[in-house]
Amino acid sequence: MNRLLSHTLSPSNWRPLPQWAVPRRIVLLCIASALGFSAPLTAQPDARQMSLFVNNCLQCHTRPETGAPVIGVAEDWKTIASQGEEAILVNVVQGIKGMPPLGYCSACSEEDLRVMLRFIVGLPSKSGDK
Amino acid sequence: MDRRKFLQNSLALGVAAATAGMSGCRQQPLDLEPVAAFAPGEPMPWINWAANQSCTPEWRSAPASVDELTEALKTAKGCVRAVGAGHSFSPVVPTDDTMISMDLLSGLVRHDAEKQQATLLAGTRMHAMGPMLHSVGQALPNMPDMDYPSIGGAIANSVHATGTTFGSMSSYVKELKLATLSGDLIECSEEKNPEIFKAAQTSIGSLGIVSEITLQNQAAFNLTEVSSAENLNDVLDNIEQRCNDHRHFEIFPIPYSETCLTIATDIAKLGDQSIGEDDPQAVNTVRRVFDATSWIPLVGESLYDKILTTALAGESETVRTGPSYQVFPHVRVVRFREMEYTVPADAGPACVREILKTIKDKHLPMCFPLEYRYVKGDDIWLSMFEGQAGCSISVHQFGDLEYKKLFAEIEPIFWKYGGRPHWGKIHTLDASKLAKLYPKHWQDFHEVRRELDPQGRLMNRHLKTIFGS
Repeated sequence: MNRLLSHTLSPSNWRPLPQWAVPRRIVLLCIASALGFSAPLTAQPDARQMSLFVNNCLQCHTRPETGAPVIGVAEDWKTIASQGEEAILVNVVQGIKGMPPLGYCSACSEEDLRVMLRFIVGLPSKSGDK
Repeated sequence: MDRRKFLQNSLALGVAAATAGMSGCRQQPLDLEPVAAFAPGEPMPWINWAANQSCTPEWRSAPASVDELTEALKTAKGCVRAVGAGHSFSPVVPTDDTMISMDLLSGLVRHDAEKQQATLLAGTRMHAMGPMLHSVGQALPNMPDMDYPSIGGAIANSVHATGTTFGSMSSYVKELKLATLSGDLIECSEEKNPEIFKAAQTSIGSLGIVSEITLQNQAAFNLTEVSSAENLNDVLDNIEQRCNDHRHFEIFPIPYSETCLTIATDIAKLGDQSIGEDDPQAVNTVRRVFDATSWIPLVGESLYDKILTTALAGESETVRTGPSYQVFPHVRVVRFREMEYTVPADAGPACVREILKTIKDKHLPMCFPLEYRYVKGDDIWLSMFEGQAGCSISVHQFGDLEYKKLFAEIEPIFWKYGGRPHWGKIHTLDASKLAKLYPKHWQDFHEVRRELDPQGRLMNRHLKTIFGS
């Protein structure tokens, strides 16, 4: 329902609705990354984790208007990355600000979330990553 | 000066008043204590979107196929609950025993171009459904104003949108497959197992877990949505005409203000163009103005109304246009808690007026706008719209503020108007009271439920309260 107020209270910086072309492009980037085209030290989700990642994480982390850091925009992740994996994981599970608990992913295990956050934040992979 | 700057300047005035020696504002934010703390390496809790429900199930399952789902149900231990996106505010999900996540049961199974029907796995999130259906030339006729829930969760709770000629999401279900605790997969529709079908169209997950859903869609279409600031009394006085004039119409009344926000949505016309965009944080701006002004003795609330009315007046309408699945939903990042009741459609204006008067008369610290929508009646046994068209009125409070006492002040107003609570939102009714709200099919539903789950293993503590043991 926030939209009502948002419409009337934010007349500046108006622009057209976001198009699905952007998320699609980013999804392709993710898949390319998972297939090994990205830096070798970045975590690599497996197929199941990538499915969970696309269904849950990307619904916000591809849309700048959500205020969430956007995948692929390194500047957005600098402060978060500096917190370290353990602190980020706790925030992901408990939720923080607009970030919902577990990032909406009720199927995710702790290990799933670790792999995904390494992947999206750009943290180095651990030995357990694919 | 634009409206945001005006509000910010007004806010500065409020802050100046505060520093001039007046007492502080009356709603103090609560500490954002997590509803369930997590430490890496320890069992991971499940927490809902609103962060007012949680549990740490002993067994968790995330089936990736219907076969895996039926196997998971057959071997499940203790109380079994399914979870989709976790967007319910009421404790419909928590279990200490077995939680079955539907995240991986996502996707388009098949579609019928002639009938404009499509079958989806129940874990499919609504944000994914739009593009999926669009790719086969179809679209949902109506859709809620946010697209985070799964279709299975939406059906289980009779999630709805607005529009006097549109039913809830459950009313668009033509067929479904229900996986039961015995490991069976029951196909049902109006023709096949019709009693189970009528119960399963809105069951709060008490019959089994719906694995597949066939929806009646329509050909893909474009919409144009127009948002405006208007006088609430003028809108309510003419509400029937306003609803008849548009495919979809809804109101966001603002507590302590005579101004409301309206949204009228219609099929897009050639040449329609978007003007404006969402600011998901806008309610926080309103909250800051409310906090900075409303506590000021004698004049605070009228000052708040004056600031809002002035800020919202004279601005042109905001327009969004595009494919229906992009126009219906909006980003939602400010977390809140919500109570919603559906009253008979004719009772809507009186009910919302009484709620707003109560908030004002009792000086309740609530500034989050209400939501006011209409939904067509249906024949689904436990649908809030069973047997009558409904007016659904939602009351919200920010996620970091106390809400139970406030909702307790409002809830009796809904009872007075014969309201039925939204199954997935906050309410305090138990089985004895709910049974009276569903006189026609309450017993029918529970006969089916007891037949499919004789031991009540799909009933968590909340379901035992609302359905009876």
